[in-house]
Amino acid sequence: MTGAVLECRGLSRWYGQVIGINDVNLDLAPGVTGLLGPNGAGKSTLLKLITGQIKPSRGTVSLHGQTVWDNPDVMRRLGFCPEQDALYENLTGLSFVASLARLNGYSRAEARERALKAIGKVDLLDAKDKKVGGYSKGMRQRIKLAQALVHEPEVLILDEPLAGMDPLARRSTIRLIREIAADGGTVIVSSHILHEVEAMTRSILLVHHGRIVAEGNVHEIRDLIDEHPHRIFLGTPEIRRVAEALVKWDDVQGIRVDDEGLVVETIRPDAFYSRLPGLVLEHNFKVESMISADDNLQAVFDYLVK
Amino acid sequence: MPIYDQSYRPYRGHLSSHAMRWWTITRTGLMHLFSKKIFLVLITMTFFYPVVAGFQIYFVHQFPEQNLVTINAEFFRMTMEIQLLWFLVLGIYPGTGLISNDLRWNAIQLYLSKPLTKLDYIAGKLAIIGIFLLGVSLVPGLLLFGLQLGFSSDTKFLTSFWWIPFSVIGYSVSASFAWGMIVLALSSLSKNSRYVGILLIALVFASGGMALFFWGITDAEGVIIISVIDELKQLSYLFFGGQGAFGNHGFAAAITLVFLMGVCAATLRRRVRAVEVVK
Repeated sequence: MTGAVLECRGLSRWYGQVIGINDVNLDLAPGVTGLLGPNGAGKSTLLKLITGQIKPSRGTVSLHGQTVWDNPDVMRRLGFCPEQDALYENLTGLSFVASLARLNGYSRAEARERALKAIGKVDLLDAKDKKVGGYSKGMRQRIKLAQALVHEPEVLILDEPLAGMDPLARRSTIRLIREIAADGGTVIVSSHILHEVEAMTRSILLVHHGRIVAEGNVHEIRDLIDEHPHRIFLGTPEIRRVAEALVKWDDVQGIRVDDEGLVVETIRPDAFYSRLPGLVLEHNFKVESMISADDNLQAVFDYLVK
Repeated sequence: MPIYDQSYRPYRGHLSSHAMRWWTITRTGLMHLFSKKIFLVLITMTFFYPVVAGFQIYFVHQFPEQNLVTINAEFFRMTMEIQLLWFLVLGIYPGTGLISNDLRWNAIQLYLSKPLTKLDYIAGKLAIIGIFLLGVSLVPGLLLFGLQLGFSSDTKFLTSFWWIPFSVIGYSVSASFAWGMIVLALSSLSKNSRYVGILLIALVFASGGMALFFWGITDAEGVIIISVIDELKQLSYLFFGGQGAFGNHGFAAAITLVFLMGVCAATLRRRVRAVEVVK
């Protein structure tokens, strides 16, 4: 007994000559697992294989020993929140979630009750009677999440669930995901942004070019990332003054002048972020924006697949 | 201190059986349609001819000396044929949007991530259009037969035409299934229901034009079954007997429809997917 809820064995999927997922072996236990990889790495393909949406070209996915593909009964234990918008624009949020709940076999009253509960969990009760077509991007994400939660699945699969959410909604969604895991659920969350995954779990899988290139603790990945220069864009009209101050820091490896600011390369981003506010206040710099593209994840993937 | 099980606990309440899971899709679709006034007006209009036919039966019995119309198998076949107009109308609305709207909203992946098979999904969608098609063919056909029996003072009509209800049922079910499958297959071809509507109208008129063209050059009446609508008309002769301007090619029409159903089923199998696979 491995304690694994979900198992993938030799899982491969190719589209003609293109390999989507290549010989993946996985054992997923209860808790949150982050699926991290750049766009086009194969995360969505893997999730669609796990949810039985597409047939594996080779290998199997099983939930408690039951094959997922072409096995609708297994779907009762799975909840899926797709990346793409998958909504009936002319239904209200409540009727959308309730009608999908009924596909799980609940009575009308039970489905409505569960839909209200799920919508409450994603903080959308105020908008439950509005048509989905009038929802903002973040609200649409949350109602999709509600339909995945409505039957209280054992395994919850979320494809880029935080995309388009405002900071408050992100925070409450992250809290919700953690609560589900704390209640014994198994949650798989895909993202291409490290800090999003980091906020939800310590356990991650790195996917690149259709393969699992690493799995383990998020700190190990963070350390790997920190070995590579981390690029941070600072939007400021005082380019020369800010650059002059930053160049004195030992952990700043390079500074490049951009159109509307500076691109700073640092090997210790955490230290940089903690010291920067003090520097700005001390010199009264005007810093209008700060963007970390996190694109050095690509460098980590390149390093891992060498 | 007792320590309780912290692991996942599934729902232990009653769940409906899988066999009727498709009905959830049908019911949701029906509720959505019945909430639209334009659709209610459309459905009301479909009863126009059956009401006229009902009055015909009434007048035949009230004024037998007038010799208005003969109530026989052809009367019922003709009712079915005239109601085919509504097959076309209902095929365009709501038929064309049944799958294409789901494709447009990426909803199929949500359906198929639930305990539902592709067959359940297609059956659910087919039932939506099927219910309306049977509503404009089976229901008026049986009601008119009942009306005729009600007005008859003897059993002469019943002993001569006892088989008509079976023909009405057989024809309505087979024509509704065939037309429903054609509409669903076309609906799965595009994310835009307007394009599907254009495609459906094009199929009807293009196949009709081709049938007339080949009839013109070959003079063979059998080629009329190239036309989709004439194929359904010819099918009615298989169930009710008799023959029209192009003769009776009911059996050939039935064989062609079976082949067409195979094509539709293959199209639906290929197009109804949770994920659009781009190669």
